[in-house]
Amino acid sequence: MFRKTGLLVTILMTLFLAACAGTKDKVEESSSAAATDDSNAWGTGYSKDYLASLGITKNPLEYTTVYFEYDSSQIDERSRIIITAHAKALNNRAGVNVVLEGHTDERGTREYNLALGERRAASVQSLMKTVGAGNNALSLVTYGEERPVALTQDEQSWQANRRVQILY
Amino acid sequence: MKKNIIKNISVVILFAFHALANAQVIIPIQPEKVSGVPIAIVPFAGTQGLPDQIHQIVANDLRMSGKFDPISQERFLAFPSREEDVQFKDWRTIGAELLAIGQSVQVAADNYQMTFLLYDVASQKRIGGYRYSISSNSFRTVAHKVSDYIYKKRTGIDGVYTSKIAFIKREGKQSLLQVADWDGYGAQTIVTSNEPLLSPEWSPDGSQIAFVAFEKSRAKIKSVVLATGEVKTLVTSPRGLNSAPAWSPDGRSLAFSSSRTGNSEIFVMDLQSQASRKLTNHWGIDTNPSWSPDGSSILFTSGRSGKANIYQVNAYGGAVTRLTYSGKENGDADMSPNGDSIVVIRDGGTAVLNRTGELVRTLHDSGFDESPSFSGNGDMVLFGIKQGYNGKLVVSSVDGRAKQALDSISGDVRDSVWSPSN
Repeated sequence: MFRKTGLLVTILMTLFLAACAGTKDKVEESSSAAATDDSNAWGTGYSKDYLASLGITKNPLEYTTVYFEYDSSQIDERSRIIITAHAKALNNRAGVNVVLEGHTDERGTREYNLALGERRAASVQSLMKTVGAGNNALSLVTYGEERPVALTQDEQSWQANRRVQILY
Repeated sequence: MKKNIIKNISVVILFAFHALANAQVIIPIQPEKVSGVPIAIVPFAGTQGLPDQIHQIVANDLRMSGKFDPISQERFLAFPSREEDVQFKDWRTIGAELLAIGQSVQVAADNYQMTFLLYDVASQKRIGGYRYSISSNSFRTVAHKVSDYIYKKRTGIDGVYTSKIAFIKREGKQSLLQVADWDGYGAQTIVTSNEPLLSPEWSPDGSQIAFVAFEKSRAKIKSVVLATGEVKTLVTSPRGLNSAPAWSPDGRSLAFSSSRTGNSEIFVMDLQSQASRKLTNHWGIDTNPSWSPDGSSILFTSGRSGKANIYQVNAYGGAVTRLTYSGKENGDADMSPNGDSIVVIRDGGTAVLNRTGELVRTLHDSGFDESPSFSGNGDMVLFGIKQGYNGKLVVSSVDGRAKQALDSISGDVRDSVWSPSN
């Protein structure tokens, strides 16, 4: 019974910390409070295990593509970590130009998808500016559904095509 | 009582106008009629072995309107090509209402005299005919003219069989803007680009095609003059994307989608003064503008409700009203030439809606249909489907009775649009 309560408290605490992790200060606080060397993998403020759970198994800077849900330009947790890493790195190299190239899957009208690709690129741009690349030239390009990387008609291909590529 | 008399008078006047406007009508076709006019089209004498079989082209043209049912040759009891050989009982027996016969006579090295005659079987009368002097490479065009003639004779409406379609073909990394006959034959490349081309749109007089091209990785709206091949930029902006051009019915303005102010909105530009007005202002994506035939309003696709749907706005701006509420997603509206109906892509299928946005019928449902557009007389709808990842074009009669894939166009084609009527 006691163990169960203890588990519940732990879950609640985790949820609470996760809810707080949205702000930069809290992220740094939690990473400095953590004991293991592993807790600030590649300077992200997160543990390798946590990053691995998001599919990030190497330095986030080595990932230059982020993915989106259908008809959405919302940035998920994996993308946020990758984009933040790029933005922080960029800030150290002022004057570097970056192209953010937005793409969509084949569903929806071609014209809508052109606009959606641009909106995805703009979401990435907005986050990059906020987290540390405000002085870099970040230009937006959209190809909508015109340049797919995967050519089968299934969710796996569509997922691969709904993307923004960070191009140096 | 007095009101009733006035009403009756106006009905009589309307009828009088109707009769004048349709002076060519032989027998009016009732819109609720579920089968087409049975017509027998006899193979034209003197055309055996030629690649373009006039009777086949005419039969296909008429069948695709949904208003005619060409009778299979296998049921024919005779194959006349001259008036003196026509026995009307042969055609009554197989249920033909109309009979078309013809012949082609070679009069010089590459000159043929082509004659066709049209009969009403019930009244046993010749009701029309035509003679053309043609070369061997214009048999298809003449066949389409014969179709136009028969179509108009019977329905009182102009046929669209000599009209064209424009579409985008992808060949490797190249994108080609092509124009072909409505049935896909005779495709010609108008513009070639190493970057994607999309959204071709005919000017109302048919002399130009606006389209979206990429230059330095940015989408802008261009147009090509068909007679000269001259390409010019119609719409660009210092920042953002410009796409989805749509000429106003009077040809003076262009509606389009632009993110020049940060997010894709609908704009209308006066082509003379280049002055633009912004019709929408919403965080959702607004694109695919399409004019009502009278030029008073614009339908567009918007993601403002969370899913793409069709909305309507006055061409001079004002309140936006939502048109589609059923289906998960609706996009890329095109209004029929008489303004009565709308064709859209609805949940990946091609659907006809009434003017208030309710579903009338689904014409096709591949899950990946694209770019529907009406023929100039509203009889037929052209749209794109997918075969694997390759696009293919399909024409359907608006009543859904007749469908045809445009197999004469090879390769990966998409983004098709029907030309205005000639």
